[in-house]
Amino acid sequence: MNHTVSRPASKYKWLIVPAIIIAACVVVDSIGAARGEHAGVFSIPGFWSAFGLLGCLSLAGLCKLVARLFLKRPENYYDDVL
Amino acid sequence: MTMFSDMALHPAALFLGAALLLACVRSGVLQRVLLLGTPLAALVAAALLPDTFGAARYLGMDLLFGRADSLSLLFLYSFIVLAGLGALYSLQVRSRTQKAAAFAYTAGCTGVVLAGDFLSLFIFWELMAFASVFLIWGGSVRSAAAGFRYVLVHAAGALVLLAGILLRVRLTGTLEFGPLGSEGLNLANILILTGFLLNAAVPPLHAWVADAYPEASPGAAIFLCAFTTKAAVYVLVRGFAGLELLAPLGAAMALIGVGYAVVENDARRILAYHIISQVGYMVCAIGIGTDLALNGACAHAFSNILNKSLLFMGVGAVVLQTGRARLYELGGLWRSMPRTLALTMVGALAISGVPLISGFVSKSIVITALEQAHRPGLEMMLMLVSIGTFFSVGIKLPLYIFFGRDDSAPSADQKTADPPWNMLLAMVLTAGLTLTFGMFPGLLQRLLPFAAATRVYSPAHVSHTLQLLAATAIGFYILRRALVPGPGILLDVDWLYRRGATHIMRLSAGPLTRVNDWVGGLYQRAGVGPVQRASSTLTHFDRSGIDGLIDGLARHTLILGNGLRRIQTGNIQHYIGGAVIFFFLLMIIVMLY
Repeated sequence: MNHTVSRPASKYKWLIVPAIIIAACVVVDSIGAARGEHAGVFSIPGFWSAFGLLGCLSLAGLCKLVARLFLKRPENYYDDVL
Repeated sequence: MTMFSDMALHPAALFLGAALLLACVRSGVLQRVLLLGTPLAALVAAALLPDTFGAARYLGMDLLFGRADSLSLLFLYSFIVLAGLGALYSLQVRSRTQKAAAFAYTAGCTGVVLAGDFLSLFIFWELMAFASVFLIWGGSVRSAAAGFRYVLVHAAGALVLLAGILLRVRLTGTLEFGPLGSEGLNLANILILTGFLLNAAVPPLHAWVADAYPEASPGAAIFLCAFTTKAAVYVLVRGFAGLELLAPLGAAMALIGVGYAVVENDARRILAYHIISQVGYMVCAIGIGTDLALNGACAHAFSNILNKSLLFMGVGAVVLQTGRARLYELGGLWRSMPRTLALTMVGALAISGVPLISGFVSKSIVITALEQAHRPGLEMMLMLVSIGTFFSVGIKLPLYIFFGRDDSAPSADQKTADPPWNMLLAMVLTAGLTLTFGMFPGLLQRLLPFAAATRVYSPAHVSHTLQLLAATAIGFYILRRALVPGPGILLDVDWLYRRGATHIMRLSAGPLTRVNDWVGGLYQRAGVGPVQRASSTLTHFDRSGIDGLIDGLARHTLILGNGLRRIQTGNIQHYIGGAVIFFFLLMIIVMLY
């Protein structure tokens, strides 16, 4: 079965909304940082965008790797025992 | 023996009564009245509860069946509301056992959150375990075995809990159930904690969730996903608030759960792993133990009861209508099940923590509590969990169920439709509650038991959350080809008792048997000879001494028996005659003295 999403008009159509959200949020972060409302690494403008992207790629990649190497079994793996 | 000091209608009594009636009554109308009326009646009963009730003395111990403070009431109300929504969703269910089990299970939960002492807590705890296994047994063909594993795991957990309770009674002389974490971890408290952690599905005691819950029927899954783990969160808040160990354990639990959900391919197993993941937030907050953190744990339990049920309702509707749960067998249902899609998305976005839905509010309280407690490591772990949650439930699950394959020409097996009205109504009500509590965070904060509040919708929080979600969407887009679901299952700790046990059997059949044979040979040589000599001596004594005595006794018993047999002629006159003789003999003896 083919599970690809139906081909969008533009290849990057699905990225427009997230990109706009990130841009707007970085602006909000910058205003907050300029006012000195927060301190620390977590309030660097755009920190959570970078964390989100890197976190997503590494989490999914690591999980896929561990699953493929150690955890994946055929569907009927347990069927011959209780 | 048991005297109640004052009377109040315990909601558990209502649900138990309804469960009994549901098991007996055959009329469909009456069944529906019971299913919908009981939760409403229980809500009224809960509103009328005094602060404490049902105090009793049993075997010299003080019991308290009802302690209705703000912490208990928050969980009590959410359980009753959820029971009502689950009952509405399950109106079509035919099996009376299932309906009775669902309400008995609800009774157990309401009993647990109201119990003021360990004995009544344990009774309702067991009711929960044994009622819920009947819910699991009503599901798929695999549910019988899964149910047995579930009940074995919970019986073991209950024994550990009971051992802890008994030990604690010996140590302290009281059954009262209050904060235990401050006492330090003695053996009694460790055993009690272990019993609680098993029901909260804290790794490595978590595998029963993903093993059993996906096999239950869709209606049963709603009750299951909301009750056992959240009742465990309640007892942890009550008993072990501020126990430092729980903070890293909860964060790790959240990560493990979400990690499985990211790569799992079965829709209901994804949701089951998300139960573990979301309870991780709560356990972590309980470990932090500040008023705000505990409020966060309670708020997250409250919102999760709604969100997770909504997701199980949506996916359950898909399973009912298509007979499938695996992502690679589903797709393109947005055309035929648009309402289910919309309502499931509310749950999916709620659990992902999208602003304006209840999950955002409760997650924000937990995250703020971590910030205030200066725990950046835990905060980052939970943010990573948020990424995985949005990845697996916010995007992957709806994408592969409702979109995925191009559905311009539906095949024969895809002629599906939205589920019946009552299931949709249950989902609409649940989604409505989720949205209401998300848009008006003050409503939820007012229900919370501890005196701490925070500004949920601060610009920084909203901005951080939206960035995380948007970046996750981009990440998913990048990885979309690498993570297409395919057949296969994932091993978990339940392997130990499903497959590991067979390895132990093989071990015992091979090396252990050889060791046994060797020991047996040694025994033959060293032990059997002397024993045989001793036994022949004893046999001689037995024949000549003991047998003579026994034989003599037997001979005399035989002679006496023959005599007695001859007396019993079976003739009624002889008996009457004998009785008359006996009577006269008695009279003579009486007159003589």
